[in-house]
Formats: sequence, structure tokens, C-alpha cells
Amino acid sequence: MRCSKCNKTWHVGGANCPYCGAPAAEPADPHPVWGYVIGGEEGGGQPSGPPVISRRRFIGGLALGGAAAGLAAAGYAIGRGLLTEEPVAPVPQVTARYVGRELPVDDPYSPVWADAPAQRVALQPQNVVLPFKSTPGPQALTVRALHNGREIAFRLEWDDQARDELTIKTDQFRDACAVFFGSPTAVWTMGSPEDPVTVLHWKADWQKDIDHGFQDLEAAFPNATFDFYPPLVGVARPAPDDYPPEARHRLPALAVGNPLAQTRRPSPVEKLQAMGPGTISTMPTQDARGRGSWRDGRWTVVLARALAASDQGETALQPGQSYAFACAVWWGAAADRGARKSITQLGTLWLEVGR
Amino acid sequence: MPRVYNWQIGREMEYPFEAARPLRQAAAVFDINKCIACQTCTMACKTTWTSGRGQEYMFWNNVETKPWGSYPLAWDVRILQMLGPQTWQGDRYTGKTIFEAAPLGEKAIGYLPEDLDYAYPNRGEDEISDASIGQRFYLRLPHDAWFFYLPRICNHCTYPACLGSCPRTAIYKRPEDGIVLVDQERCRGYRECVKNCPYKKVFYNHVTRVAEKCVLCYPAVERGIQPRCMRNCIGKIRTFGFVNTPDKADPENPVDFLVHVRKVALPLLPQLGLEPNVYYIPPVHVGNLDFLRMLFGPGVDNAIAAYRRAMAGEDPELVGVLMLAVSTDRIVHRFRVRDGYAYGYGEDGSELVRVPLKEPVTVRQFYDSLVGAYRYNVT
Ligand code: SF4
Ligand code: SF4
Repeated sequence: MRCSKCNKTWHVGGANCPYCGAPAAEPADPHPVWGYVIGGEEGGGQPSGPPVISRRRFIGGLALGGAAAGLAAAGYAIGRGLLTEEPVAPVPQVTARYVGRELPVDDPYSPVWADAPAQRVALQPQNVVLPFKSTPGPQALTVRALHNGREIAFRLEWDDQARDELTIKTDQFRDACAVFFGSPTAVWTMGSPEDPVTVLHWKADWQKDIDHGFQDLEAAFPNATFDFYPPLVGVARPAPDDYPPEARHRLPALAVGNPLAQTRRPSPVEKLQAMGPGTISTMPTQDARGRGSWRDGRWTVVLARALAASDQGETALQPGQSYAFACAVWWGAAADRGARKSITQLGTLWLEVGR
Repeated sequence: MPRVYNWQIGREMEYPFEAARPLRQAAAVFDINKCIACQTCTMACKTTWTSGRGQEYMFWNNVETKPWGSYPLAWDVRILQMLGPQTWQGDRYTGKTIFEAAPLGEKAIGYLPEDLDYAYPNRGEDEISDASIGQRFYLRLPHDAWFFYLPRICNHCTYPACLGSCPRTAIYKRPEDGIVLVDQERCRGYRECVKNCPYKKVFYNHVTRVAEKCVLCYPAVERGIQPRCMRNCIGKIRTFGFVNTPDKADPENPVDFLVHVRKVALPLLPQLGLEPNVYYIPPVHVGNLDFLRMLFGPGVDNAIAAYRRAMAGEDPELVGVLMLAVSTDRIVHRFRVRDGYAYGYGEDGSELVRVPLKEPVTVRQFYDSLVGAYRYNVT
């Protein structure tokens, strides 16, 4: 729904804007969507204790739980910091603070992050390029950035009660986030052929593959049983890496080198180039780093890269310069993927000059 | 969205891309009257293409029992329910296709199956349409209680919803034969194709985490050989070849003859708007014609009449084409029926196969005087 006064949109809760309280300008979306019911039992009264989010099918975002769910949603939004933390900026204006030390690339909770100014930025469902995001999503994310003259690291934080780290079943989608930066003239819709943008994309399933080993079939289907996979006769639970080279074609995407299908991942952050919607491509040199962690309904993710570019067309960053900048967040539980994402407006990234 | 012409619904329609028909379109005709649900086709495909890890649940070819069977679960019922009641006026479809019914922000209507939807590939097998038939039940044709087998593969549609909804254009239709493929290097596993293919013939690989689909055995087709599911069909129900648009129909091309000349073979759910290229000869014994019209469109009555004429011996040409089905591994481009034989010819005009319209019958004597023994039929 869209607010009649402040023009913000929301998907969860009542008919009044969770930001300013004004009534909605439009009626609820008539299409059934996957959504979240916040609060106690279906149709139940006011929830006690911290709000819980459960996945459930409902129509139009308003149908279940009635006023109780609406109130709970508003309370949830406030409780999660929309009003208690920094104000939500409509456009990201991020300053990458210079620190004369190693960046905490592998530690999203490092105290060093306190040195970076935090900015809370509004997110909105992507609805410019088909397909749109029509499911609920986070309302805002918090961005910080640090650099040390050699490397830059971003820290993104957003709320997500459901932790989606598997992409094994047909209807499983990952949580993810991304930053994009390009020349000051780069356009919001993933750049253009003349003005490509660089994207750093962190994926929760890749993080899990790295932290706990490749998440194979049994991670989603623990009781899976089979006779054998030709030609691996007698191999109990073969991992993709057990396939001899002459049989790799039975894992086609892996065999042809699709970066999404690989089982050994050096980093949870993929470095991509984009020249417009639908054009993202993995860059030849995969040297982005980072780490994401989920705690108490909140992802905290670091995405890092050298300031210098290592691939053709990649955006190099320099202290004292400004760049086009935007962030995106995917909620796996809401079936987010590709263009179905929550995005910030196109803003700027400025790199502080080293002291 | 651009407008394209779909001859199966007799009108222009909306599609995410401009029309780009291939130089020729690979196609098949399945004679449902002859399918015995032996699943040989299913296994021929399974052992060839989908025996890898992550592909366990995938059946690029499956055979389901109608009316109750479906794989994945209720694929047809769900898309028809999403589309809602729609209308035909004669041969012209006046309802909405899945592209035209798309809500704001989507390219088509569709849904993403859950893993349990794939868990019962042969649910409803051999279940009759109506188990509540009363005491006084006489067998007659068409049957009051009926079922039939529906073998299904990807339809290599002229207007594929899978291709149309891929945000990365990782799915392409080959200009040389119209085969629709998922680029295994380019796919990023968004599953928009799995969601929007109404026939649910794109699958998600659990291990490589990208989409895969029927490739119509293109390495064989490139060499003039039929796909595995076709040439292994036990019931000899499958005619494989190339289909033209009706204005360019070639009466000597077996697929064109069945689809355009005799109009005995019909697309599956043409109202969805994809111009699918696997055609079905509807079963003639089914007592509920409306069910068949729902599945195969308004041509059902004519198709059944044409097939019955052939069964009554009034259409040797039609019998001849059907006799040629699965009579050779090679792709039959032209056929002729003459002097009690059907002849199949390759692309270069050479004779590939010749089959009698009526198999010669020999009755052996009960007593074999040569060896002094009686012949017993022990089977
Ligand atoms: S092999 Fe032929 S007869 Fe057997 S199930 Fe498949 S289509 Fe039917
Ligand atoms: S049947 Fe489905 S997968 Fe096959 S071409 Fe048509 S839309 Fe694509």
C-alpha cells in the first residue's frame, strides 16, 4: 500500500502508514501473495512478548489477524528501529571513512565498524523492470563503509526474521544483498552499455557452503535414497566433486563452469558487471571478499574489494572521489531473486581522503 | 508487449518478444489411442539425460493418467484455475492467454511448484473418471467411465513462456529447428521459467542450482535421428518431424498431414497461448467430450471423426502415416501411401522405411510333420 501523505509504500500491517500514520492512498493489492503474519495465532489477539513472524499464505496483506496483526506490524516496525534509530534517508549518501589499518572484512561485528558513520536508507520493492517484487520486504537497511587506501568494505544490515540459506528445493530462495557503484553518471537501472556498473553480491547460500561445506542434496532432503548415480556404482552419497571428469556432464551447469553451480567457493561475494537490466555477468577475476552473519532476526554482511580494478570495465575507486551508489536486499522467504528485490534509490558514495 | 500471430488460437496475441519463427520447427504427434503407459519413453529419457545428482525428481518425459493424474501435482488444474473460465468462438479463442492475463509486474501468470508437488509422478495411475457408476453398467463406446494416458514432454513452443519470462535471456529457441534450450552457463537459477511454463517442463537442479529442461535430443536431431523417447516408444504412438504453419502446410509431410490436412492431431491446452509443438490425437473412447475440448481445444470433434473414419478403413492415407510411427530411428520428412504400403522418406528423398498397412498373417499348422511334433502356444 502507498501512503496518501508521505508516499511511502508498505506491505504488512494495517490501513494506516507505519511511517507517519496517515491513511493509505490505495486499497490493498487484490493479488494473493506470499506474506507474513506478524503476531500470535491466526485471528488471535494482541501478541505477548516480542513479535514473531510466521510464513503463511494470505490474501492482500490484510486478510488474517485483522487489526491485531496491523497493530503488531506497526509496533514491530517501530521496535525494529524505524523510529528509534537514525532517521531513514530516502537516498543513500554514504561516506567511506578512512582508517589506517586492516579492514574487518571477515568480521561483521568488529568494533572497528563503529568508526564508520551509519546511514539508514529506505528500501522499496523493485517495480521498474519486469518482473516486479510484489511480496513483503524490509523497509530499510543500514549502510556503513570503510577504506584504508587499498581496500574498501561495506557493511549492510537489515531485518529478516526468516533465515534462508539454502537454494536446493525448487521453492527455496536465498537471502542476499548487493552494493553497486559506478561513475557519477551511471544510471539506476543497473548501468548501461556506455556506463557499466560494478556489483558486489553476497549470497547466504554461498556463505553457508563456505562455513559448513557444500550444501548438497541431503541438506534439504535428509532422507534421500538412491541406487547409484551412473557411473558412480557403489559410491554412498557421492558429492559433486566425486564425479570423474568424464562423467561431469551429468552435472551440466557445473561442467560448463557456471559460477552459480560451483561447489568450491573462494568467497561468499560475487563480483559482477552490469550494463542494464538482465545483463549482470560474473567478472573474470573473483577477488571480492566478505562475510555475512545472521543474529536475532538481522543479517549483518560485509562486502569488500580492492580500490583498484582488476578487470576491464570494472569501476576503480579513489579517495576524494564520488560515485553512483545503490544497495539491494533479497528476502529469500518472500521468493526474492533477480529483479524481485528491495532496492534503495540511486545515491552517492564518497571516499574520505586519508589523513 | 509486442503482438504475435498464434494460428492455434486463430488470432494475434501479446508476447514478451517479437515473433521470430525458426527456419523449421521440430514437432511431434502422439496418438493417445495407442499409448499403454509402459513408461519406456520416460526411462529412455531418464537414463539418457537425468540420472545425475540433483535430477532425481526430474522427468523431462512423463506419462500421466487423465483425468486424475498429473506431474507435477495438479499442474493443469492449477493453471486453468488461475486463468479462470475462458471462451472460444469457433476456432478463434476469445479468452485470455497466460501472457494476456498477467497481473501488473509479471510477464505471465504461473506458479512455482513445491518439492512435494513432484513427489508423486504417477499419482492417479489407471484411475477411472467416475468410480460412482451405478449397478446397471454396460460397456459401450464412448465409455461412461474412462481414463487415458497422456505422455508429456516439453512442447518446444513457438511462443515459450519459459523463454519469455527469463529476465536474463538465458533461454533461447534455436533458429535451425525451434528447439528451446536453457543455456547452462548463463542461467542464474531465478526459476522464472519454472514458474511460468504452464506445462511445468522446466526443472530446477537441486545440486547445480540452475534450471534444466528437455533438449529434444538435439544431438540426435542434428544427425537426422529421432529423439530417444520417440524412437523407443513401445506403443508406436509417436510421429516425429517438422511442422509448418497452416498456410505452408505440406500434405506429404507426416506431421503437417496429421495436424493441418486431416486435423486429427491437436495442441495441448492451446488456450494458454504458447503454440505448443507436440500434438495429440485425442482418445476416441472418452465419454466426456468437454474434458477433451478443455485439453485440446475446439478441434476435438473433427479429430475424433477423422480418426474413426481411418479405423473403419475409409482413410488408408491416415492409417499409413500412423503405421510409419516409430518404424525407423531416422526422421521421416515425407511419406506416401501406395499399393497397401506406407513409404517414409528422408530429407534427401531416399526411402527410409516401408511398412504394410496390414501386417501379413501366417497361420502355422498345429502339427509340424518335418520334425514330427505338435506346436504348442506356451505364452
Ligand atoms: S513409450 Fe510410448 S506407449 Fe509407452 S508410455 Fe511412452 S508414449 Fe506411451
Ligand atoms: S513447454 Fe514449457 S519449457 Fe517447453 S518450450 Fe513451452 S514454455 Fe518452455
